[in-house]
Amino acid sequence: MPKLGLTMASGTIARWIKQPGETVREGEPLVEVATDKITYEVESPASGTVARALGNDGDEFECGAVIGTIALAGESNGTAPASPSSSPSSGAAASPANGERIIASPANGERVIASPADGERVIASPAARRLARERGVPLGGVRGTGPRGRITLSDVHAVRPARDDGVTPPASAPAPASAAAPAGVPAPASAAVPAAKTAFPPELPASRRTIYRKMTEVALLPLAQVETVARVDAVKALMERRADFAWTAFAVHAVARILREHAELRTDATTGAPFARIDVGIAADTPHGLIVPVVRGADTRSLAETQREIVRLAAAARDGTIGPDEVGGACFSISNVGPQRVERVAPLPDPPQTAILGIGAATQRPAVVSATGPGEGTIVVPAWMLTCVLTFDHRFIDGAPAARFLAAFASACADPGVLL
Amino acid sequence: MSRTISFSDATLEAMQEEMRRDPTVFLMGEDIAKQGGIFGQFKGLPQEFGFDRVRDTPISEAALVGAGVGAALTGCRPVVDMHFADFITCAMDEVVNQAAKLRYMFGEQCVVPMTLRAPDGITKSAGSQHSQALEGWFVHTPGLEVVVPADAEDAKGLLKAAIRSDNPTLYFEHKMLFPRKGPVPDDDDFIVPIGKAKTMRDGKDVAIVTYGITVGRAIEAATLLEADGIDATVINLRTVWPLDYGAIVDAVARTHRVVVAHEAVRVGGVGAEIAAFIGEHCFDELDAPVVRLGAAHVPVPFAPVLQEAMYPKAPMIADAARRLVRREI
Amino acid sequence: MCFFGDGATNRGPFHENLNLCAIWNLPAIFVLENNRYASTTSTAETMKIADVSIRADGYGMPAAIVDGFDAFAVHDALGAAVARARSGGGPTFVECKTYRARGHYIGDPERYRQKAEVEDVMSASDPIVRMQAQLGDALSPDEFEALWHAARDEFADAVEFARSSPSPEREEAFFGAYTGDRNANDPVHVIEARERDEFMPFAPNVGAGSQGSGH
Repeated sequence: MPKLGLTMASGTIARWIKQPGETVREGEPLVEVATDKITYEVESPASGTVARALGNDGDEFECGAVIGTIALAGESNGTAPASPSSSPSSGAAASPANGERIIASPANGERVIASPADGERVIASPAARRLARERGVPLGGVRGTGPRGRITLSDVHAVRPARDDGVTPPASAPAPASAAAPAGVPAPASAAVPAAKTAFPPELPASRRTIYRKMTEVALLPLAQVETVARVDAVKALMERRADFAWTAFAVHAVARILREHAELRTDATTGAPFARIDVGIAADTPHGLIVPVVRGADTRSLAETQREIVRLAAAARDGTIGPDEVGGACFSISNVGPQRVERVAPLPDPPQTAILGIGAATQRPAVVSATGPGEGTIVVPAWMLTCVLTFDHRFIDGAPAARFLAAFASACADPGVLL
Repeated sequence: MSRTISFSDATLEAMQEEMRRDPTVFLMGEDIAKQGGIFGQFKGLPQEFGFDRVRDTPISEAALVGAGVGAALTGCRPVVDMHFADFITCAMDEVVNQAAKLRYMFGEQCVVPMTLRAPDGITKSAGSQHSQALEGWFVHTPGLEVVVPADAEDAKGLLKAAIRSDNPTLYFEHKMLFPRKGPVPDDDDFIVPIGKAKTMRDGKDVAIVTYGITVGRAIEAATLLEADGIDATVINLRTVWPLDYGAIVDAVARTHRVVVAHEAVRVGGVGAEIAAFIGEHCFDELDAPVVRLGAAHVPVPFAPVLQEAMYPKAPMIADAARRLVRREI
Repeated sequence: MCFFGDGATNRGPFHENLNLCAIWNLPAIFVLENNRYASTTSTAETMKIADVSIRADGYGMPAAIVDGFDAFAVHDALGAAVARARSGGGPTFVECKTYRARGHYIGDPERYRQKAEVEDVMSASDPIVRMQAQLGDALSPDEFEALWHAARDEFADAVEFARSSPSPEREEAFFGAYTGDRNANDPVHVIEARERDEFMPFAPNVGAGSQGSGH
């Protein structure tokens, strides 16, 4: 159990991200640890296979206590790590990656590879260093296939300019812990445990590292979109009449109820089954960066309660006082660019969520409607509309269910009475 | 235009041309005039130039080289033949303390334009005292030039250059190369300039930097490497002092992997100077350590099976190059 | 004309050269200053023979022995050798018997010989005194003084010239072993220039007339 803050005495296992038997690379999120302050994503200190994951969700451990073990590649209950490699090595699956160390060569020819201690230098040929410098390739992210793991010219040549530079963990990875570190909250996991050897761009602020890594994974997902334009005159009228809710609250309220029936849209990518609880995240732009406060049990709250909750969360997010159970764990999220007066946003889901709804600003647009009298055809009237884009992970959700969900949302906007 | 002649005939042509061109050039050594040299490399010279200009000496290496230094100081261009490089040891004072240093010691007030010819290298069981390659000692002695021809063209061009040079020049001619034939340009002013290497073969994967008889072995190795899809550069240094450092730098920049090879003992040999230079001045071009090949640190054995075991030939050179390219080193 | 001391006659090249000059009948004159001491060893302990010139006999070379303190005798002996050489008669070995008046080096404690021996020999052997006696009236005292002072002055001038000459420029250290223009682009001179550039920042300025830093 890592000591993640000066005053931390113990931590609770919130969720094992990697399960026993799964392979993990050093630096990959391994386990979510909750403290009284916040939930942290703890990164794996070594590459190998998770041998034991002690403690179930909710179990508390004192700092320093063993909470799990990792079999280093080649050790008894592990096979060589099937870690993704970016270099075209000639079948060098068993050769040490950059920085890994051969610590024994058993007679059967398998090599036991140990991960480096902190501060060990990267072994690279002079020419490889020069090339890496010229190309702006961080050596720490390059897999060395030369003797004793040396990075050679061909290893640097093999580094593709795209995002996959040997750092990407498998797609089914980390929990959506808070992406930013609000002021006043102890630093998140990546600062407290031994520094991961991932290849972040050198000038990237530390606060963006989690997002950087997440978006790197997301880029691999087979995402699709459906889009529609919802008429929101009725909602606007309702908002003016009642004045106890704003547009975002309505969206959360509507989405939460639709999600009850449209369970596919709240699939948990880690299990493949729907999240049990309907917690809806709202992407919020704060002085501390992007935060996604979550309305817990959004389908059980009234519209007014949802509104009050959103206001409270927004204030806390702005002030940097948002708590650990107020972020993370959502089954679906909403991104609203209406306040920025932008018409359309096509957001990316926050894994392990498998869908996200993007809502644009409501604007008056021409609508073609039937004329009031019988047999009088259609007329064009001004109507309040907004563009909705639903982005979904096609591994779990097909186009039709996605379309049906979006249609349901558009219907709710057009006729809100049904939901209330 | 060129002709194909033996290495030994190439040296003979060089002597003839230079002796015709310059009456101050004369030749002395043991077993030269009457025998014509044990490899036939002086055949016909006394007949053309007289026994005054082609002199047999007693077995007196110190006097021979000493007389050469004296003759050089007083206006001649002596070519002194040592018979075997191993016998230079009997005249070390004359070579190292006199020939190499007089110009410097006398404040450039004299010249020692002497050429010292020394057949060297491993041949068929010539034994420890007749098989050495000693160029390393003389590269280490300031004031001397040291050249090592690899083929007939080098043999002729470098000998002419050595004779024309105003500096004392050691010319190491490998005994096994004497019968080997190669093309030689017709031009009787053809010179191989001292201090300039020649690229025998240009390849991108690995460079073999070498000189003398090992050049041929390196070219053989390069052919072996072709079968593995490996493309080797072969650099024939031609002169080991002054070294063509520029050619070495270019070869490293092209290939990033280098084998330095010679028949002389590896420890403290010319290869050590080259490897250290590369490490110091071409560091960022290296994708792998510089590998040196040279004879083992033993006297050259007499028994054929022992002799053949202890110095690098084509398979060993190819193996080092291959392992470098495969990143096993 | 080749000058050497008794010590050199024990080295190999001495014998090789005597032999070579004899067989080639070269116009060479070998002038041995046999002063009876080679560094700290005397001829008595380093050779079995009393006259080194018999070694020339071993090579078939004519030899002469002469009193090295007698300038006229030496002149005559060498004159004959020169005449022989010039007329194609080949080499001559001339052994000049003399004595080493001082130590082998300045500060030599001379533990290898007795002071008495030195005094005995030198008191009877000063060549200048000898020559004065031989010349007799042919050389007046004034002429002698004039010659003496002229020689002294010439010597003193030479010493003064050496002492007051400036030290060479430090960068001279790196040039002069090979012929050719030091600024040329040929391989040797490029290397010399590079070494000069590398070493000059560390080359200490050792002043004229000093003996060097010693370390």
